[in-house]
Amino acid sequence: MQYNWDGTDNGTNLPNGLYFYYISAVTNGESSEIVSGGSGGGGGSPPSPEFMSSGSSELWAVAPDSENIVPLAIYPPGFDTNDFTIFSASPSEVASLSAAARPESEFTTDSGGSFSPDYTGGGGSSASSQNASPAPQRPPNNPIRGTVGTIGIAADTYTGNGTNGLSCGPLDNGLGLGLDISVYTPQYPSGNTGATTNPPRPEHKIEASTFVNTMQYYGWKNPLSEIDSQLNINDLRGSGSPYNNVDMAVVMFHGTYGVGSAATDYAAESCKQMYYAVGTGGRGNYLRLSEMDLGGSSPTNGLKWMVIDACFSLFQGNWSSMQSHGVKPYNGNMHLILGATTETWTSALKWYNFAKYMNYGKHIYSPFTIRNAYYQANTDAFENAPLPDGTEITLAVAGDSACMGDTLQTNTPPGGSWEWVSQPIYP
Amino acid sequence: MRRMAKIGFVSLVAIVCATAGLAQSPPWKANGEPIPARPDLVVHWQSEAKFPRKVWVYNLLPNKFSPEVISNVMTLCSFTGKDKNEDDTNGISFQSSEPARTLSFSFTSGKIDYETPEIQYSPTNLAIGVPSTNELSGLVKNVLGKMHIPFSEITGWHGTHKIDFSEPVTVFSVGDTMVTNVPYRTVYFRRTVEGMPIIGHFYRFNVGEHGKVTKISIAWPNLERVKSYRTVSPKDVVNFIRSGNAIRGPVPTTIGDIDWPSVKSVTIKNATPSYQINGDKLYPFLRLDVLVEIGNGAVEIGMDCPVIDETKL
Repeated sequence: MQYNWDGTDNGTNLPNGLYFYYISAVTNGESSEIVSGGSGGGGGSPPSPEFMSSGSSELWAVAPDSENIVPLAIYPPGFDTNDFTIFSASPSEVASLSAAARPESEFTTDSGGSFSPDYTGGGGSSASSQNASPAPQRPPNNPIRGTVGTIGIAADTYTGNGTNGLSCGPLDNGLGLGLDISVYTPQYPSGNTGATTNPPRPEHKIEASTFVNTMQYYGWKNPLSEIDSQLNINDLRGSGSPYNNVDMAVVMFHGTYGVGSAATDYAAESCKQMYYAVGTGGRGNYLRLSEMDLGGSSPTNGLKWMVIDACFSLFQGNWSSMQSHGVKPYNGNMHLILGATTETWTSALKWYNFAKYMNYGKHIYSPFTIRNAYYQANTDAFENAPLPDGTEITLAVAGDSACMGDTLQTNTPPGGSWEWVSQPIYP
Repeated sequence: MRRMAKIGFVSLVAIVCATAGLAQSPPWKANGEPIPARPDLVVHWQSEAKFPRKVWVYNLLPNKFSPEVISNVMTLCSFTGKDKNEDDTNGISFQSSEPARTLSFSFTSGKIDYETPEIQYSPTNLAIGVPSTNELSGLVKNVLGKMHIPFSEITGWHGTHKIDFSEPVTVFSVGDTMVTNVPYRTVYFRRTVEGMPIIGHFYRFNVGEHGKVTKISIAWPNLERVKSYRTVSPKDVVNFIRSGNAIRGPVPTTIGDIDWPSVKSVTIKNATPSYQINGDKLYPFLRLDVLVEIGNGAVEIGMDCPVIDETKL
């Protein structure tokens, strides 16, 4: 069944967003709703409970002339899926299947990830155009009206020095006396003032493309993508950061935090804080969290939400130290910073989940708050994953108290009071 | 060429889907990334765990919770008979409006779910009387006893713990002062069957202000033995890894990617015979904690492999 939509609600213009059609048919004189959906542009009705799937399995599709497995749910109601291969499986089964079917070398290329939807409604972008797989035929009218917003992404794979990774630091403590800050490393949990090795993270490319492609499916534009050498560390420093000109930004780095007797950072009001390794050719440099000034002044395209996907990116003790020393890596326009207070773990699935849950929800059209989407995306991604005994993953969100309930569809202006919240998501 | 690739790929899809029920494609294979065969791989066995001689495949059966359990949990969650809103052969549920709380027992899946609304705290409105972990330890047996969950059939996550705890924390910035709030603490554990943990399913309940239970998420279906299988030996496990009959889990982002062909060695630190829920069955497999030498360091990851001879299924 196909339906030509003119982009309006019975002639009334709608805000930009992804919309799901309600199509009803009359059978034997009785009205029977056969397809349900909601509206991504705000104000839409939730779908009927019949649409809810049970258990962890969901339907997946492989389009003709494509090798990509994508959730069937990404295809709009009415989309012709007659020639598709459709099957039921859990996300982890599909992840395993995709990994098995994907050439090993594909992990280190720029091609789209296994969970990258072929159907991208948000227009071209750098990451999307890198996907070499042919897209299925689109429905007669794109169900996305305009664009929802913009995302920026920065990631480092630390491959500028081959398999050796990038050396980073030591980091002067700000006194200019040749004294360096001691930071956490897995080898020196109580602190190390020497240079640290940041191993290659080629997975960051597939994680980034998974997030970008899924967001694009839901209508988001991606005007800013900086991977490896495209990223200048100064792009993340200060109020002039180009990342302050997108609605949501995601950065993927190695992260650490100051620990031990030499952890005081005199370059930042003598606080203890977090550091992220950013590569420049065959070397890495530390970006101080205090060097950021997150938050965009534009009410329509300014930065509101930032994900710092790095280990210990929002380590509790050091976040509190920054706050108590008046060191704030954000301005009055910022809503939320999402990160972790423990190590984080690799998963393309968590990025697919995160984008889907924020834009659509899990089983039915019921978008999560950004914060809960972040938590649930990670919980679901690691539910069955073999993690070593005793592993704990605790995420953290720091943000304006008024914005903790922000969704992509509706957000509240910052009120000026910040809080930091942790949430154990594994086990 | 593309069409050929598609046919091959779809065939793979078909194979996986057709066998997802139980036998030919064991469920543990969906838990991570397959490892390639490495007949020359150096594998050290350091696990002291002893395998049972045989393990069982189980059917998961409905659990029609006894009236005593239902009554206990109703009392625990402050419900009365007036709050009942559904009661049929599939289960029973209760609901209160102020605040909106729900309690449900699913007989078909053996689940108990209790939900309460999230409380909004502030620097001037902090949670009061949330039990410490020490205080919770004393509560746990009481709460589990009300649900007729034997303490002998649970295990925690850290070492030999029977239960573990976690807590969300909020830190409010009030000028230069940090105000910390813990809205509740979570008690979590796994079910064991014949001493083997069911992986992927942590059951939990939250305890909030004044020791009140604020959430329960537990599934305790009845079990029925289907068939027993002899377990493999450590030597077999080493061979599984060398032959690529295993999967590996993710790596922490502090560590680089694992290029399996260049792995120097694998040390099995712990091998835990485990169960995985697969449809309406419990399927046995082996979960491994391994240390992988990757040349420029070592990384501890999880792996899964058979614990029985799966060629005889």
